[in-house]
Amino acid sequence: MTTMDIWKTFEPDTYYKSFLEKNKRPDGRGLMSVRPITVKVGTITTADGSSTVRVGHTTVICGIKAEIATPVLRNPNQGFIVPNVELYPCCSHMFKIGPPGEKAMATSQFLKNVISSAKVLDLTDLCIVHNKLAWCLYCDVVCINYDGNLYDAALIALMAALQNVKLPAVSYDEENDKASVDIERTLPITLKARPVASTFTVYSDSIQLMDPTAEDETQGSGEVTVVLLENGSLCTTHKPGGQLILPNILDTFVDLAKQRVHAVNTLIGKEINE
Amino acid sequence: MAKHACQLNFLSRSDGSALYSIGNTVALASVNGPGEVKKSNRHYNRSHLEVCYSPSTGQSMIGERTLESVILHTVEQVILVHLHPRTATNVTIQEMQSDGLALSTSVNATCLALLDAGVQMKSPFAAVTCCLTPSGTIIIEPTEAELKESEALATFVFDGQALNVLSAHQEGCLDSENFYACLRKCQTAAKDVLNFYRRIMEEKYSSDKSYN
Repeated sequence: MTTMDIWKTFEPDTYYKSFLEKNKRPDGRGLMSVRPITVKVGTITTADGSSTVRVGHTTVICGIKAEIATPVLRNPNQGFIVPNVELYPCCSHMFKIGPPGEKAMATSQFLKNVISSAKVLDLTDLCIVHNKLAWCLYCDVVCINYDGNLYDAALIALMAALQNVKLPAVSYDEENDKASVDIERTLPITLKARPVASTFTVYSDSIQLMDPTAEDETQGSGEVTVVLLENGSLCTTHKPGGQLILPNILDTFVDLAKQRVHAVNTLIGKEINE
Repeated sequence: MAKHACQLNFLSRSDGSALYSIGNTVALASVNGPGEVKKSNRHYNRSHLEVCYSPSTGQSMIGERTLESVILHTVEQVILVHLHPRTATNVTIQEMQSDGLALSTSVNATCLALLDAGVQMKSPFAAVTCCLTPSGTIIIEPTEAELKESEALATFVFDGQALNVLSAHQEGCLDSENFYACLRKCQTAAKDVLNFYRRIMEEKYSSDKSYN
């Protein structure tokens, strides 16, 4: 153990603070700089759409499984999209075995909220036969390695996987009430919007950190996530408790997030077209 | 603004409780603690906080769990948790009647239950929900029917001192202009909520003989 490691173990707070005083973070980044992002699509061949995303050391895999279901009576011409986030103990010591914890549930709900707020998918596109058949997209997001900023990584993975989805053509025989799936002919789904999330950790009134690592999250007090559409307009703001923020800080966050939106969407676009 | 009503000390056995209603949404919050804590939840430097939200029918699902997590992170920031190391504080919220304002009603009920229990806090906090109609008007504290018609809904929790934002929960798309318009309207409404808190607390202490 080096002296630095000992310091970090015994005095984590002062260790961390000493970096912030120099406007740096322990991993060498500035306060508002982001980690490199890598996106790969089609990583799970058995899924209908999939992606693997790394944001720094945070690694997230998203697999989308399409199933044929019956639409609900209330919305007979709509399909379903069901995002689900899993955080297993193998990705971080913070998570325990058992039913999904608070963080996993909050992230699932966040993804669901963003998809419906930004109108990413027109659910009527997923309908095959009115009141009879519709696609149900199960989007499973699994974290392989947790190093902070799960919201951003999960949303990038979900969006990349959705763009990778190829649904087989379904023909429906009305007389016999039978549906046949043609696996040879597949079609991608059209996405109406491509939202990108940017998360900030609030450390104190004057110090905020963009793209936090797990260490930043434990040291800071609360995250703020802003979700922007591809044209740079604000879609959703998510702040579940945490340190007080002044309304004008949000403007700074939105400005910083704008650059990220463009970078992330070009990255996904490039990977999809390859 | 919808009508706010509150009854303190609704439950006789808990340390503090409040029955709170905004319009037709009613929630009952009860606070126990700081008290005994499970070994695995024991923190050397602060009190452990637990929030449990139970809906009026059925089991608590993912929506309720999200509500719990928003309330937990809000309350955690306000309570002086470091004053009671190696203890636990429990907040239990029971939904009594639902008309779309579950989050803001439960947050306000929690605040008054905490005040009733005498848990030390930095400041009180007040939640206000608003929604944006397709025609572009902002309704403060809408009803369930109005929410169904609306484009987006936002709930803000403000602290009682400078009315800074403690938490923000949003469903639907709001651009920055509308977001700030909602924020400002809710901020004004939060002042009334905080005045209502003051009145309730004044009533409590003036009617209770042991304080005079």
